[in-house]
Amino acid sequence: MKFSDSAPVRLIFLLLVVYVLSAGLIFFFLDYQLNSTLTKGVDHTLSEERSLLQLQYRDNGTAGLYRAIKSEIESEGSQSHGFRILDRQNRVTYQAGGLILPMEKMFPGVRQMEVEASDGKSHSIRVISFSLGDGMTAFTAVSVEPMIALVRDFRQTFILTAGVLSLFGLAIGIWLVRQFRSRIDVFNRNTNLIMQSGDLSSRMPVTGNDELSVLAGNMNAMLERIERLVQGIRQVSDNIAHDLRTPMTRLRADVQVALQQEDPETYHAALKRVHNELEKMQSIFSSLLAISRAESGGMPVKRAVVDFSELLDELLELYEPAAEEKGLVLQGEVAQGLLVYGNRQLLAQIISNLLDNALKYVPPGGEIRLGANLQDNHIKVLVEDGGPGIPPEMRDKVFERFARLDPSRTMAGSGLGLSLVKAFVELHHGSISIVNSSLGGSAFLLDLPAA
Amino acid sequence: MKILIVEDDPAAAQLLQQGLAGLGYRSSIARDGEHGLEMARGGNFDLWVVDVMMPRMDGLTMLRTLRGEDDNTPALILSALGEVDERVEGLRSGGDDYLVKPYAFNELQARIEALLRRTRSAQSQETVLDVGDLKLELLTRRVTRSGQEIFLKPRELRLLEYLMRHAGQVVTRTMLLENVWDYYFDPQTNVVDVHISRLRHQIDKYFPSPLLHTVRGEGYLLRAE
Repeated sequence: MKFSDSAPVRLIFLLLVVYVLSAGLIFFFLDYQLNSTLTKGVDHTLSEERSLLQLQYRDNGTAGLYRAIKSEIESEGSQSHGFRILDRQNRVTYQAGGLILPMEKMFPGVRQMEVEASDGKSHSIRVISFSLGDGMTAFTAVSVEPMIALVRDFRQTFILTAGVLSLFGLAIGIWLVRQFRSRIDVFNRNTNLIMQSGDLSSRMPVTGNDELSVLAGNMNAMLERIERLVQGIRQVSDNIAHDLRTPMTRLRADVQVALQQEDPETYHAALKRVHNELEKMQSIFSSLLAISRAESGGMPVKRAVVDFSELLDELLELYEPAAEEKGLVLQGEVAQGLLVYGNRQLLAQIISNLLDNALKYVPPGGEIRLGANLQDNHIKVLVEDGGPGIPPEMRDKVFERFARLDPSRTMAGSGLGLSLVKAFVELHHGSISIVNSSLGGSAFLLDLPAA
Repeated sequence: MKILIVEDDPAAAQLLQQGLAGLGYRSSIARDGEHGLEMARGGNFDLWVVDVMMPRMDGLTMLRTLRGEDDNTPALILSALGEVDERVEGLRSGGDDYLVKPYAFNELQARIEALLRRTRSAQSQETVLDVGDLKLELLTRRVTRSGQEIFLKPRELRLLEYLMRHAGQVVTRTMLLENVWDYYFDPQTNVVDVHISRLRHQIDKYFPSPLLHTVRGEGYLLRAE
């Protein structure tokens, strides 16, 4: 990256340009103001001298006039003033002060010009002419050299100060840029490291609480989320590989044995078994995928406010005939108006799996109860039955994948139903546990946040 | 009846074609969405069977494009993606039904027949459905058989209405769960079977000829003998 491509460098350059331009503007304004104020001051002095000289001449004649001029020169310094008096015939009758005035005639207003002074130096002066009466003409001049020196001082001081400030600003700017870039460089180094090594556990340093630290914090949060997703995906593939290996081995053995026979009926029987096995594998596969994706948070789920009471009533209605057919009593005690923010299909699947479970294990004549109510903004759902129940030491294990209470595996089922339930419940920010049932069997207690 | 198969896996496409031929349907194969789009535009098909993930153009884009051209040929989406939301997305893109791969062939058959049948009956706005001497008045929700009124619960009515609308064709348990109960998963318990047998009790028990038949391993069939 070129230095000029850097965003902060451009910003600081822009700021410097703006600073210099405004300093220039201020300079020209002040310079003009200073000049005009000083010039006005000089002109005021000139007009005061005119009034004084005219008054002296009128009251005291030439003697008073000369006296006034002398005292003026004494008090103001000879080098900075010049006086010249012409008589009626335009002859010089009197000349005083260090400034030698060359004029012969009256002129209007104030003139600025260069004259030579008695010390041989050239002076810028401002001069006026006026009549004293009796045909006498007077010229009065004041040197503006002090004013010019003042302006020159002002200009020098201003330019020096502005220059120093610019350099100082530039230095601070460069320092800031370096500071900023060194922090950005840390980010870049870390991200490159992560990209190269694939190690998602590394994090950005967070210092203080400015924008960059907020950015670092966000990047860390993002890394954490990515890490979790990647871990989830890894877990999914590991699980699937592990859990499908057993049925695949069985399948392969079956096919191999069948291939050694030549009897069409054996073939047919083997193909039928293969078909059944494949169907089972497919169901295991989709359950595993759903569980793993739900657990890792990688499942895209559209959520809406679901009327959970209505959903439970519908499910009771769906299952009631099947329960009756098995000689079971299915009872519902569902409070009305329970709302859950979630996915209707997944919520239905949770309850459906629990009811399937109960229907499978409760012997004829038994009872199944589905109750739901609201407690402290939480929806508590209890699915309990009068079946054999789950021994306390097994209560945590039943939610694990392929957990089976019955080691002889006489009951059909993949052993994934309750893991699926748990994963879907947690996807809805809820929890599930097993408690004692008043019916004597197992009781699944579901806790879902109410919408 | 001519069916367009849009599927990028040649083996799967051929198996499907053979299966459809066995049912008496002619079909053509398009190897990706772009090809499918071309063929659908020119082909005069009665049904499209469309895969989702394909090279060049995916099935959903193809369907959206064709629906944008006001082509309302029924479409069945076959997808390896099975999440609830993906089904919604598929139906929103213009699919009329959605089946997750791998599927059972008789499930596919039942759905294809339902879709082909739907186009034929879509034009008529019936107010009465009848199968043999069984009648369902849609406006009053009154069910009679041989003039004798039968009282059904709301869900039984919906179940009967779906069966009557698909009279003469096999409907699977999954189709019933999806269309009558709006559930897109299969409960382990045989819940649908029991509902069917209750309905059968209501409409068939006191009459000499049964209308609601079980097709073993496939589903149910409502038909007047």
